[in-house]
Amino acid sequence: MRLSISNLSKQYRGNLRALRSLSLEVGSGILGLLGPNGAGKSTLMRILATVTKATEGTVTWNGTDISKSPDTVRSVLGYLPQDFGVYPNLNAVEFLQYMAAAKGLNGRQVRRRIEDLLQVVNLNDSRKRPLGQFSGGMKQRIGIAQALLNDPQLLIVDEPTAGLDPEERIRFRHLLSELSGERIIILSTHIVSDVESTANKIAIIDKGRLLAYEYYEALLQAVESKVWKCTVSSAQLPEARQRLIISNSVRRGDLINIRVVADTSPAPDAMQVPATLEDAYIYHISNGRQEFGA
Amino acid sequence: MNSIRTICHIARADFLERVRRSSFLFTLGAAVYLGYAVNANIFMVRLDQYRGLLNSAWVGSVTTLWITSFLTLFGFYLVMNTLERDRQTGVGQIIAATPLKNIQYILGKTLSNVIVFAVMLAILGIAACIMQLLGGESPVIEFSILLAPFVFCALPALILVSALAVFFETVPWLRGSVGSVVYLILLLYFQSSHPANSGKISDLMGNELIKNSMINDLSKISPDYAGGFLITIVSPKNALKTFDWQGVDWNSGFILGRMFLVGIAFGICFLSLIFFCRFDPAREKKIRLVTSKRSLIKKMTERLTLPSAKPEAQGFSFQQRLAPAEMKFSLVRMILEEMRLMLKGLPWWWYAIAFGLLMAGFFSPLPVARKIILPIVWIWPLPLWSSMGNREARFHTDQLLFSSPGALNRQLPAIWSAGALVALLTGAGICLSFMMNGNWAATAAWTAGALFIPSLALAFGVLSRGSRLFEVVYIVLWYLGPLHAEQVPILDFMGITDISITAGMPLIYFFLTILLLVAAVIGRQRQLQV
Repeated sequence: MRLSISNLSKQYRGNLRALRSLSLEVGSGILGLLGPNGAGKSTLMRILATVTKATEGTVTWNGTDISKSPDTVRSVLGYLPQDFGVYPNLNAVEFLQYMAAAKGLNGRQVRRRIEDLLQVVNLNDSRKRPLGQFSGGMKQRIGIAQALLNDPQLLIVDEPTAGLDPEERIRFRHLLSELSGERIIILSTHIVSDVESTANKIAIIDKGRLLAYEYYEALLQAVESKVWKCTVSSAQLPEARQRLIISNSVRRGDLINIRVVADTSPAPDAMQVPATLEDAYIYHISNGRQEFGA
Repeated sequence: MNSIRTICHIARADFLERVRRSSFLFTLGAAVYLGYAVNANIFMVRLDQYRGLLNSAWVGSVTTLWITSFLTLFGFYLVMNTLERDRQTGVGQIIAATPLKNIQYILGKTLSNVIVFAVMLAILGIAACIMQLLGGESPVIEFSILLAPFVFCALPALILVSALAVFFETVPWLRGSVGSVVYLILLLYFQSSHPANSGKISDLMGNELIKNSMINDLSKISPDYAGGFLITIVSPKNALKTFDWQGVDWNSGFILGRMFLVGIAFGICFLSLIFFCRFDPAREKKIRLVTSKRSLIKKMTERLTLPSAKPEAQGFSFQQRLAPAEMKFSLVRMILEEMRLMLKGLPWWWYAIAFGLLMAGFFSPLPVARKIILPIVWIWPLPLWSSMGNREARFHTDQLLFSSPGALNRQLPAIWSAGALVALLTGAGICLSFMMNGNWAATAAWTAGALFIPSLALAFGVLSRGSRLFEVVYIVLWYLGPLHAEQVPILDFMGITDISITAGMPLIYFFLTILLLVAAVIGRQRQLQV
């Protein structure tokens, strides 16, 4: 099972470039796609889900070009878009039955799978309620259920935890981890902690460019011995922000504890601390902006 | 003063949003064509074998007569989306949380509608001036005479239409296809000629005054004139004679009446306030209190019984829990799902009336079933057909469906089949009656109609990504065709009369059905390849 993305570019009307020559080789497991708002994550997801076509470059699924033969990947695809709607007059079971028919699933077995999925996403009690009465989080869970209907080999989830309460978010992370065995899961988000707890390989993109594509450990290693903790006053903070890459700040009375990613000690009282994925993320985004311009 | 500024800002923002959509270009294009067609005598006004000299009075008045006929119909459907846009984009909820007063919002939206019409009137006014000069029959443009009918007749009528469009949007049951039909019926009543209304407030379009002035002036100078008056697109066989008409004598009573009409428009804006829910979904949906209470209790119970987020705590595996998924596409199941989607949410009385019509079609005498029942049978499911091909865009399910296998060759045929089934089932009573009477030509025409309607709905739904285009075209077609089948057999797509069947219309509509289906496939293919 292999998904190959080669020199992918997407240009929208008005000369807006969402992706620039992006290449990735993705194998089984969870790929976490991190990037700030407008980085091009959703565009990449849409291209992989065959909803949008790339301007340049190719995407192949087990060697087949998905733009030429989209049904090859559609038949094994589960897709949860960032923005999606539901039919308000249908209830949860009816909506999933509709989606199952559209995906071409066997009618006899599908009923049981729908029942099981509703249990998994914790909507069993609301199965007969019209979707129009669902809250944002419940709607998101129906989206997750429909993405899993066909037991997809390629599962693409774009900002899946948006709108979920903390308990449901943890539940979803467990679900993803468990599903990740013999399939490819691409999880796009700007919430670093979601990726940290589930993904084994992480891609960081910004302004349509791939800045890093590494295993979790390798990303941390890149910033090992580059993360510092020190204290500044409120008056010094703006200047520090200009000069340093600050990944976090916590106010303690008049002073502010800051977490800095830097090659050398940023201040005489600075102490080295273990790196986190958030530090690695901030480091790559800042380096990328320095290299390619803000 | 601040209030007026707020209203103007709402109108401005709404107008700019409209202008920057590509569909507005089509609207302007249509206005330019209307201006050209009226003044090039494609769309004409004639009084038996006479027409007026192309002076400012005639050109201005004829353009106005066509404007009030066209824009009060198409214009209504064109502007009836201003609240819907705020509802769909979510802007409405943001607006609802601001200190903006409801009346400011309603007046702002109405003003935006009026501005759209004013732009169209301006284009038509310029077109009228140009065409008068090109006509060469009266080279001097008298602006006040040319523009007076625009200001006194067309503008007040369109202000009323603007307010009505907003009113229809605020009343939940008038928002969709039902509202479109109700408006058409109202308009047909007010547009039909009532000479006694001339110059009175009940002459909503103001057309009777213009018409009577033309008739009276021509009667005085031409004894051979028999009193006929036609607003038509049919050219006469012989060249028309001309007469010099100097325009309407605008009296103060008439002008006061038109101002009163604007006052009624204001009144309608205030009436809209009763129904305007300020985008509160709880007030917009007719959910019974009992249901709400039940769902509230359910929600609370759900919270209390929420299973642990940690699966290991309950000792289960998500993966082991799931039944296997097996791929096996069934077109029949997809059609049934589309049918369910189409029918779900309809009230019981919709089915009751549909069943009543089915029975009436079967048991009524054949001429009655054919000429009266059949048109009603096939206007009743309009809300079902109008969502074909655009439901995915309306409910934002397009990404989910377009990433499914066979989005083109599986789902599209299923949608069409569901629409065709609705036509076949609702009209089955009449079809059976035809067959039992051995009227096979009428049966063939009926079949052509049953296949043509869903094809029209699907093609227009896919191409426009909305329901309005189909609703407008179908209602106009239904009115001009089956309801006036003897006068306009070419538009009789249901085969109401033998004239249209003999003229081969069923065959033509079969052919059109194929063209529309090809257009739907191409349109959907383009949507899949963005």
